[in-house]
Amino acid sequence: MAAILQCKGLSKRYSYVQALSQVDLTVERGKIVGLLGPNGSGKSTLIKLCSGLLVPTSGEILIDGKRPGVASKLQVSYLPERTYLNNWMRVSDMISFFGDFYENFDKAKAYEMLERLGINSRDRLKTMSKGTKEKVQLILVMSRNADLYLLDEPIGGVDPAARDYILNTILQNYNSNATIIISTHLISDIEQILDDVIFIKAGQVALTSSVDDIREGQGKSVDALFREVFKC
Amino acid sequence: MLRKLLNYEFKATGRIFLLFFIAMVALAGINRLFMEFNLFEQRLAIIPGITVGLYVMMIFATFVLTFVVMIQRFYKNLLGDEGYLMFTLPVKPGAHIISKMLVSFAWLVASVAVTVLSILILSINTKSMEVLGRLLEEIGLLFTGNYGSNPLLFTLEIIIGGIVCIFTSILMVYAAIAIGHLCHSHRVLAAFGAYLGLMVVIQVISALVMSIPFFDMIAEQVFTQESTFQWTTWILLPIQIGLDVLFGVGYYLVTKYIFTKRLNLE
Repeated sequence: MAAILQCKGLSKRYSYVQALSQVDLTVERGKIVGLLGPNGSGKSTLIKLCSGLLVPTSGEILIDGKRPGVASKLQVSYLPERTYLNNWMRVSDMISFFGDFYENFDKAKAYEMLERLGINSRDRLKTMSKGTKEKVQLILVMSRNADLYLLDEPIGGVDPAARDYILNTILQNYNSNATIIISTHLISDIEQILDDVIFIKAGQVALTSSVDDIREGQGKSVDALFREVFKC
Repeated sequence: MLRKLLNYEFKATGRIFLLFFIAMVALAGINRLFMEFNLFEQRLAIIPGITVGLYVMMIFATFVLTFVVMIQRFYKNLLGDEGYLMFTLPVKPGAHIISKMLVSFAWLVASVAVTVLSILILSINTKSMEVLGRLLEEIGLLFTGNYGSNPLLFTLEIIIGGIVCIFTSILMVYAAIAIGHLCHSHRVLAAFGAYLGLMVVIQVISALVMSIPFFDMIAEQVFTQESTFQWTTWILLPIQIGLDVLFGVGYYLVTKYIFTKRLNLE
């Protein structure tokens, strides 16, 4: 079976900025991977390339052995850093929307998670706070039975209590064949759930390693290593 | 998938249009009542004046709405934050363009239909029926009368040409917005610029292509009503429709290319 994500010489250039250059990367199935790097290092660009929102300038990106397209979009569940919810809808409308377009969307799971977080599915998105919207969005994304979850800054805007619940949610929804890539700079909060980390620096991969290797081999936490690698 | 997109697009735009349509028909009905029963006298006579004004404004507002919704749905739903959702759906980019275009077209047709309906509500009586009947008769004469050409074909061309022209106009707006999206900043301004640019290009191309049959017409000394009609049916209109189709396909392909290869959501 092909690796869930493969990048070969992957580069992305916006008109004046080289966002990613020559990234070679393989991510296997069944992992929770932290995509870590400072602001503007190319984390979001890499995730957008995986989700098919961007097209590489050169090099290749393969999702389960395929170029991003309609088929890969069914396999990939993407949480952008922005709220993309339609304000005129209710949460329940959003759930039927997802159910309509993604055959792997699990409605029952979504309603269950909403209930746990005390969100009323009859509420209109317009009336919700930014943090609540982020929660709704994460629930929608995690309620899909996807092969690859791409979470771009998933916990930035929510309170610490909900953060714990969300991390648990991520863990519980972790089917053994799926991979989750989480981009963040709140490393200490998510460190305990990560299997692997990818450090990304100025558009290039600075380090890939398993968390165990960092802890045992170097005797450091990921957070400490991050501070070392990205020392200003 | 296109069916689902259409369904969702109608849901997203339906409420506001229904509101406008109901308001238009209601205002037509109110005005009709005021006309039938002369309720207001002296100073109060200003009231029917106001309601007539409101009705006319409502028609105007409905057409502005179709135009605004056409642009706003495309720009906000596909190239704004909601684009992050729309472009990660397992749907081909072309389906997004087609669904937006069909729904805009449908609302335009519906707006025309409701306006006609409201005018009928406002004005239908035995006398206006008579006028309408005579008008239809005259049009019928066009089909039976001999203008040296095929009036059925002519009518068909006008209808098809009209539909094609609406689709092409919508796609032109979409292409301009997509081209504007290529810019880093000032995307709305760039879209306006792109629209004007496209306008110049199609005017030049149309003028060049159309000049060929026009010169032929002058060379062949086509001056009678019959022959002009014939030229219009067999040469001018088909060329115009063909050009519109070509432009429309071009706009579609440009928009699709930008969505597929050059998408760069903020």
